[in-house]
Amino acid sequence: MNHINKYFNLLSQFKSCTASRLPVFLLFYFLSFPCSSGEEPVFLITGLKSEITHVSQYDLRKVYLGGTAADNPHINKPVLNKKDTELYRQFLKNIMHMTDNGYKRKVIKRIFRQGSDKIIEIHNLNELDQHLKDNPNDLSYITESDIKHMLNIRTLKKLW
Amino acid sequence: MDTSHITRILILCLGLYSNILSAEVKITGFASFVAGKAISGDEFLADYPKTGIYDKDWSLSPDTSVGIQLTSDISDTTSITVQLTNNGASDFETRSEWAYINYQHSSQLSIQLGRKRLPLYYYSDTFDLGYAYNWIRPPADNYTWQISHYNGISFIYEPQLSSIDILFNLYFGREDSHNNELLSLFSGVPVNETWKNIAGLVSELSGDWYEIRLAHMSSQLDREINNTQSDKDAKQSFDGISINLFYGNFTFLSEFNFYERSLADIEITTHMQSLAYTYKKFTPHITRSEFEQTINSSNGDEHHFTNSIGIRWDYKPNIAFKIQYDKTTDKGITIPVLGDAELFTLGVDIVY
Repeated sequence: MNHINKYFNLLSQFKSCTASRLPVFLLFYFLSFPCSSGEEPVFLITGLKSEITHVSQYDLRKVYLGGTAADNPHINKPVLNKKDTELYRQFLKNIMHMTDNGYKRKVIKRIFRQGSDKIIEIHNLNELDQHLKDNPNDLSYITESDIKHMLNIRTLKKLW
Repeated sequence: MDTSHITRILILCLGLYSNILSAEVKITGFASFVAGKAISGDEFLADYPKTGIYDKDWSLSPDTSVGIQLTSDISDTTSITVQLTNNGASDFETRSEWAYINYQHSSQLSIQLGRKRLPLYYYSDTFDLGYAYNWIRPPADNYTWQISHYNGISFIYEPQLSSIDILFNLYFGREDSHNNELLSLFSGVPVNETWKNIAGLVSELSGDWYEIRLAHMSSQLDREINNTQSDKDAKQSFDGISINLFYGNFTFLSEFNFYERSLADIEITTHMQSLAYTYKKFTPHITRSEFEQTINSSNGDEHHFTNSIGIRWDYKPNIAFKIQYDKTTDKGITIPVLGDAELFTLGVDIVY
């Protein structure tokens, strides 16, 4: 019980610092959500010869945070498609439920705390196509209009 | 088995394994190059665990560190991780911060055996990784402990609820510190310190805009001052809470910690609050941290606080420049640290 009391004491110290500011913070937070209408469809992709047949939203988020997929042993590594900065931001918002800073913060902590792999970043479609040819069990995402430029990929599902 | 043995064995395993089976060794690393000087007062204690001290002359030693992390997968579920660092405060002697075997039991549970950093504080795990925070160093008054590692076993359980990330880290271990840097500095004679029967639990709950962390640790302490036993099997406990909030460009970081060793009538509270605002690649920040020992029967009264202001410039995705000013007020009479002092530091943090 002593430890529980200590936590409450510590929490009350924190509350006294921030209680009056919390509603303002929350207001800023909810106002900060951008409108997501009018976005081009984006698909989850893997290599043409991939053994992956499905990926749950849970596993997708988990592997992009540097973790291990729960129910899909074939998933190798996630690849961030950074060809388009806006696409990257939308992926973080819609799938990871994070901002760029929040995502970087979590990934770097995990790399140095739990020995996780760095998340691969690719900045052009040709390189991404070649990467998925060489590493067919990796995952990435692309817009619908970019699919036609890719020779060595297979779409797994529409992300949004 | 001491720390160097564990590290050597794991490095040997890692080297043999990668050579024999041509296994991939993943290399990540970090570096912080920091220069600074005390602009008032004689000395400024910037890094308590490693006793990084600035004086009136410019120095690169107290906060400069270089680290490399090697990880190799032994099988689909098992890997070895070794992190070696060179810190200027420790005369650039190579030390192992991490050296452990990781077994991934499931997507949610992993087990580590070996040497790890003792996860008392929010930034304990990434203390040397300057790139991970806005400051030149985590606020010194809040990060004051003489033991910052342990050898043992830890269990990390990570259930996930939608966009909420949860982590529980249960750990058990022991640490033997011969000629402990911080205690020997304060005592003026060699001090050996052992924390044994360490048992701790860290709980983290985080989303994109918030992080809440609770930490509890209990252990027994043995201490020898100048080869004379001063403490034996003394029970001690640590409790801490961290709450971090991220709203748009604003960041609010906080930590409140409580330490108790009842046999020696020692109770210590430390806390830290920091507010930062990110505008494009620049993040100015202000911070206050404080260490206060409740005055006890021995008149122990260590009490110091620091106000800091600084700016971080994210020059490249993996490079950040920083400038920081700190002003420490030392109110301890029976246990003064190094007196009032002001410090100016500038540096660059890199991850690769």
